[in-house]
Amino acid sequence: MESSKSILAKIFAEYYLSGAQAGKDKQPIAYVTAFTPVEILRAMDVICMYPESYAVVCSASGKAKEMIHSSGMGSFAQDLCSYSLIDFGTEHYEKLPFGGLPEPDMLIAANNQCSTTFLWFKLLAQKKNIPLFIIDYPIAVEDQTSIREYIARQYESLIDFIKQHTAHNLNAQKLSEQVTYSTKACDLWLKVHELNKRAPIRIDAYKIVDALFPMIAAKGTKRVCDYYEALISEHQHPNDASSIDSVRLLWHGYPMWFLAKKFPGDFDEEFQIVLDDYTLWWNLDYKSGKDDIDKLITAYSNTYLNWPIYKKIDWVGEVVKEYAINGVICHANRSCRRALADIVPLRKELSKCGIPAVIIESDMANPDFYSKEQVNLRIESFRDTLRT
Amino acid sequence: MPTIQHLLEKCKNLISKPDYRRAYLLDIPQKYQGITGYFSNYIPEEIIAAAGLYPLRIIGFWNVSKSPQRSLFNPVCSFVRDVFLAACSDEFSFLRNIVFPNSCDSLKVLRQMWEYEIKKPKAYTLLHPINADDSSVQYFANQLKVFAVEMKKESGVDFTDAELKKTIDKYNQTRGLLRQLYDMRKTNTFLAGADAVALMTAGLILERDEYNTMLRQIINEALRNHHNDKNLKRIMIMGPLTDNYALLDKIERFGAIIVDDDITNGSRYCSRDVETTGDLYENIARRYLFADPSPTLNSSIKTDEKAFRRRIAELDLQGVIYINQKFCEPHVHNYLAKLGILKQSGINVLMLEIEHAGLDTSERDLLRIESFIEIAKRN
Repeated sequence: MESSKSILAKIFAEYYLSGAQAGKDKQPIAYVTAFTPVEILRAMDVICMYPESYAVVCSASGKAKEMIHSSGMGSFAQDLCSYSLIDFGTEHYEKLPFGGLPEPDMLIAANNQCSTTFLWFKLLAQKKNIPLFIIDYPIAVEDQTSIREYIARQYESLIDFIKQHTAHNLNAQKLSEQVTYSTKACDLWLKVHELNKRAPIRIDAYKIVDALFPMIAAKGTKRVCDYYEALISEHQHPNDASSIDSVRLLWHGYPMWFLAKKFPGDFDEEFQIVLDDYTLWWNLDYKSGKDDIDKLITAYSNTYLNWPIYKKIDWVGEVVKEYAINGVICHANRSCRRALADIVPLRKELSKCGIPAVIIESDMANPDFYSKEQVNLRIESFRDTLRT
Repeated sequence: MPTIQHLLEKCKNLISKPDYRRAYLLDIPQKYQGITGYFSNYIPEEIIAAAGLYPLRIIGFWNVSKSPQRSLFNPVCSFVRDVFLAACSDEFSFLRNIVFPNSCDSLKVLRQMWEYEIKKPKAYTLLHPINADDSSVQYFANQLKVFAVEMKKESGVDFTDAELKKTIDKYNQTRGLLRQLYDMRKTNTFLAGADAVALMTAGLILERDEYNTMLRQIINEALRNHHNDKNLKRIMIMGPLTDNYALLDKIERFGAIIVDDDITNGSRYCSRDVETTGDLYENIARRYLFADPSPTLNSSIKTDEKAFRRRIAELDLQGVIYINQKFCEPHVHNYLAKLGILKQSGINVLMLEIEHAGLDTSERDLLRIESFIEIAKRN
């Protein structure tokens, strides 16, 4: 079996090369937001590029500060999402990782994660003078027929929009294939997390964070499934540094991409981050629906950030139980207003169940909002709490 | 008949004095089944009123002295933080219910905290679409029908289409009068811009019949006393909810007149009427989707840009002051989108970032305003 490392390298190269090649071949390129139903786009031969994912790469390669400065947003850097600031910075920054993303032909955003993406893409559409399509997911749908129909109509309009701008038709067989692989990839992605369900852990939580990229960049392909299968088979045995007696911690929310190991603090055998629930947010439900489009409606309207507050609290509570968590570190990520909504309620509810939680204020991509000393101090005192 | 000064004083008090506003609201006519609080320009007051409820826009300032040590994380906008603190201090306990829009993330955070922590009064979310296009009309109309059923349940008052049409007529009258006021202000400086915004904003609190009467009286008075002070610099204000009368008054005291605005509690509220023939819910949906858009709505970039260029060209402006509330993300984006257009049109722009409840303007901001108007005078 090919190693996960080798498959990941190929996925990475293919993603960035496909973008560059598409530019040369005049293949249409769309910038999309994290939870855009790209299965539809890919079934219409549109190359999908994720500015958010690229902002992660820029942050991880230590360029976030300079790029945010290049964005020329000045004092607005306090107000805006750091992914968008990094993206605005690409316009004026010369040393872009991988030479930057190729220029898009169209922009497609969804508000199922936040409203920022739509504001950001709207501004981008104005600047680049290219077409924009916004998919509105008013709420996470289960059986609300009128909202399902509303989203379905928007998907029809999306298909028409792509047709109008590319002259490409939807290939139903390709769509079905995409949905099948997305479904399988989600099952495998859950299994990756489940490697750490019981002590000792099998895979470092930050490695799971690193393994998220294929789920985004190569969604709906067999290669993603191969990657997760390889990853699972390589991590069947406990980590060298893991212990059955470790205090098991859950990281709630976005990782800090600018840190080498994505989380702050020095964790050791005594205290281990078992998983980051952010990576589980990508485990979408592709199984509920009468056909492929209907399945996509369920999957993409039911994103974590689109859920009502009690559903979020219940879900994290389940994760805490299933993964035998002893304490939770909540990341109050100043870039994401939507993700901030659940922090205080979650901490209160966890405390009612005897699970201590600590809140750390920082940012997912902008190191300017990270104070190492303060964060370490807070984690240290949290460790003391957990010891007692 | 009350004097104009008396009416304007009432408007200012309603916005800035919480006790005055509360006393006014506790005295509303018995015919109402309760007060429905709501946020944003996308909640149709017509439907709330038709159900026998009193629509009250959540604006202005509140008493938060009893406020417990609770707060929302930054960067949630300062308006939402103020509302949250006020709600924690029971400032909204007199409301029967409260309606949230499908709007910005700050309001979505507040909606979730309402459900978790505030709980009372009961909250409802109107899931209006964010795409302002024809394909969203039917969906919005359906949501409005669901909303109407909820409001009827809340008040126990059923209403027919004919009764809904009556309230639509009343709100169309308000919009028409306000548009008349806006048109007049372009060439008539009888009413100070700050007073006009206070008058406009108080309408979101005042009883509708009283408000329409008040508007008629002020418009007639202004028409009778037409005045055009050419020494005043013509300024437009832009931004989200701008209910800080003191700040607007200070801007004008430097020798300016606010001739127009693009703010939530301003021209965006009164553009376009609801058609009264055909399916009323569809008509309401159409009006709210296609009125002058808020940045939280996805309207056509090209159409908006064209309309904005035409509008600023007609106004003969000497400057635009963009008053944003700290951490109001949609308006930072809107500012960035409009800045280029304004610059291309040769219009100077001043961006002020303020706290919603910051009644005292900082010395630094006052200096910036003064020099901005000074420069406008030279142009």
